[in-house]
Amino acid sequence: MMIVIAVVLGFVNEYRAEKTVHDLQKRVSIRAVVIRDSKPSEIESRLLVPGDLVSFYVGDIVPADMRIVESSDLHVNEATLTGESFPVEKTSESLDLQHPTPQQLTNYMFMGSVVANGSGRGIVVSTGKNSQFGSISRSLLRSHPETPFQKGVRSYGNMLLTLTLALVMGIFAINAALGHNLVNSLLFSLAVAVGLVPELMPAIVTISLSQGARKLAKLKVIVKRLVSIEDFGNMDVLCTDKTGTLTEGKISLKDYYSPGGDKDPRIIPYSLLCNTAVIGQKITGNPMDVAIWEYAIKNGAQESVTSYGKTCDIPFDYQRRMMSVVVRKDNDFILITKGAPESVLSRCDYSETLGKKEPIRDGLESIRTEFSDLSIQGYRVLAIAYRSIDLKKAYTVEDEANLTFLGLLIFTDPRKQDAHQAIMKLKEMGVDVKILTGDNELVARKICEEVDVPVRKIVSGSELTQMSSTEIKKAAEETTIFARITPEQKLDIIKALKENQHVVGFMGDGVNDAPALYEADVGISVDTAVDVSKDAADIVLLEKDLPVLVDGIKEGRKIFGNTIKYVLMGTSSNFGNMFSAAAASIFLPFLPMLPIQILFMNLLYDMSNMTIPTDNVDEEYTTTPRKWDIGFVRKYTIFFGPFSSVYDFLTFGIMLFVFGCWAGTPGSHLEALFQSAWFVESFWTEVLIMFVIRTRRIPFFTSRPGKWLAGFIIGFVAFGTILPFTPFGGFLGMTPLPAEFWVLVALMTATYLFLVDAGKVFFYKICKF
Amino acid sequence: MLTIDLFVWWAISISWSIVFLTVASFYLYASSRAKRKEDTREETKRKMNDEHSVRTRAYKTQLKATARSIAKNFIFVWILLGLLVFYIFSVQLGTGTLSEAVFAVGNIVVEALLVFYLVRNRDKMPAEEQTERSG
Repeated sequence: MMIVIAVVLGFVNEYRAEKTVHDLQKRVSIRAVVIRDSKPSEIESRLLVPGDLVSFYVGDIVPADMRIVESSDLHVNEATLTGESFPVEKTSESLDLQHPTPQQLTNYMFMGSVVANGSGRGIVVSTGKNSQFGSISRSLLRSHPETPFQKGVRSYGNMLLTLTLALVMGIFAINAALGHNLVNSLLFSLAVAVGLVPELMPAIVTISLSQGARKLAKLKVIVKRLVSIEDFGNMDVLCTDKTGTLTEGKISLKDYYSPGGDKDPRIIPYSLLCNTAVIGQKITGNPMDVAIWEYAIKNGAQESVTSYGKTCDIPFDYQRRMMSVVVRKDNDFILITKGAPESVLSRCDYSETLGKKEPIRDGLESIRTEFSDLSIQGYRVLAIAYRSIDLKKAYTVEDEANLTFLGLLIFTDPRKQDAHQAIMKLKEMGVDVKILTGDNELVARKICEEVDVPVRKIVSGSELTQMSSTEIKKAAEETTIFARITPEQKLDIIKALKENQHVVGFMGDGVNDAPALYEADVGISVDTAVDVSKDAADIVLLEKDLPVLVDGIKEGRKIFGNTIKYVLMGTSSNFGNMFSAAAASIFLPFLPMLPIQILFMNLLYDMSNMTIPTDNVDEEYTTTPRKWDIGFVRKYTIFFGPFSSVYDFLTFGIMLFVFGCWAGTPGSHLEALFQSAWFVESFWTEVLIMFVIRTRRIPFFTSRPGKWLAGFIIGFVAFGTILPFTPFGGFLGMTPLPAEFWVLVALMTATYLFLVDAGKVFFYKICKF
Repeated sequence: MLTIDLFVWWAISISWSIVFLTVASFYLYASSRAKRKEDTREETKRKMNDEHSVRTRAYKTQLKATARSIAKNFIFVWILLGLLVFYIFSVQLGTGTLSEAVFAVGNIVVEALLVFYLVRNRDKMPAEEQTERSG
């Protein structure tokens, strides 16, 4: 059975890894225009070799890692690789950099990124598995690392195995040495072993996890790997990218203004006229032009351009870094220019605010400072200028002179409205949020400040490359923002945090995030992410929102709480009972309980526990992350196990010396009376103690159990009570018990429950969990 | 008449369980104090510069506080030891005596005491947790 399970699990792991790689390959299965022998031809990208000269245009997926040799207004979207939201400008200019990060390589294009604007040519440097993309796929070709929950279950199993083996061998050896019947002794020791094994553990865990997955699905959280739910709840560090999590992941026009801070009413209409966005059912095109249109529509300014007629375009090019249009209003012709501020400003002679026109030279320095400050803060800025112009047959770039500067347009990837609240909630729940971004540190810091994430330290990718593994572990602990980092560095940070004993969650949606998603204890991706990321993730969010994470974490903690209840039940009351059985078998003239009675009690006990996954979890339990601490389970066993044994021995004493069973011999009525009495007492205490163990609250009855759990416990206790009076009880070797016994066992059980509750006051004060 | 050998065996077994529980409690208590000391070692080092007399006074106060806290923290152990004596006594009365009645009454008294203790400690745990978290 175990071998079959191991084989199935191995296959599933292998299949997942293969599927991830397959999706990766599917994404990059594209065609490229290659120039061989001076002739262009279109071939499959897998046929490219280093040294090939490749042409690319807007919309192309880059087929290999390439050194750019020609570029024309080339902008590449590398978001899936680097996490940077804005398309990056690429040129063929050579660079002089030591240990450059991919983001710094502006003359390089990476396989899988998308040409957002312009065109160019590049020489293939590396292809397939040797590319940046390929190195990511290689890192996914390994089995999923064991999660802290799986490690915890394994160490718990080892602990129980050791205890069971020691106890069983001890019972058999001592019984044999005392001259008891060997076959009976063997059967008895085996029954004790069966009683100790938490055979329901896999079922409890699976039921809890699948119920949790169903609840999470209603919250728009899809769980792909069930076992990760528990770690989702226990996660104490969440690493996330900035784009789409803290920010909307979409460029928008934040503001615009003229020199001096006033808003000239012509800025928006002129920006709409000097614009390449395509207006259809959806606005498409250059992200910044789209953002201007969206802003205008939102503010009802789109009608302002109806009185203008466009007569000529002077398109954007990389050398000028701007575009112009000539428009007609009534009998006047106006040339409007929009582009990079440094380019536009160099062609301006005047600046104008609200109709007041003056030479630009006086205010030029302050405009440049303003632009520089905005750039440092991570804003993208465009300048807008105009001039009156005469009607001509054709207009050229030469006409872009003597312009009047009108103002600056400021673009940003705005912060999400609910990000602050969600981060504060995560902090309250003991989850430390770290930002791992491909963007620069200033942009990341600004966003963190906006959403009020306290920034302790910022480390850049280039700083990380200089660090030893020990330094990375230290930095991982102290740092809030890792900026300009590579996929490999994300992986290093996750590994370092795991080595620092954290349960690490990682949220990402790009190809560059796949290795980190795979390595993290909980890989979280989003529905809109690339397939590779979704496949590498354990959990997929249908909406990329932090608030949904809060609900997910809470659910994970509840599931973990219920799993731990079963573990604690097994290691305390159940273990105490089996220990008593072992000890009693030594000094009693007959077996304290028949093997069949032990097995049947074990069956009833397990069935009563089947409803643990439906139990309520105290609100305070979900406020902090918990880790599977085998040391805590061990302490729980040595502390609460003996409580159960004390009451077992007390039952033995009462039956032997108050009800006279000491005179019993094997097969006698007194033996059956003793065994029936202990069956009832141990079953009552073993099952009813769940009400005490399931909560940390004092007294236990202040915490309301789930209705199914309460119903099952009471139902099974009732069944165990009437069993000795039934023919089936007789079949199990039981006999009806006297009325006085029922009074005494009820009082004993009540004392036992209250005493264990009092023990909790002491235990939880000294043993934190 | 009881079989003394069996009764002694039984008394040893139940006493051993309670002794084990008592020892386990002291062990857990001691190890938790050691861990707490370990955690605050840095802080203690900083305080090493304090004057000797201050330290001596603090030590004496701490000793008194420790004795008080042991009496208070181990209440359930004292109850358990009391129960052990009571249980052995009531069971020893044996068949055909008032054994059942004594046993029943004793349990009811202990339950009343325990419920009183639990209700007194009712809000203690969450309050302590809150303090720890905020600290």
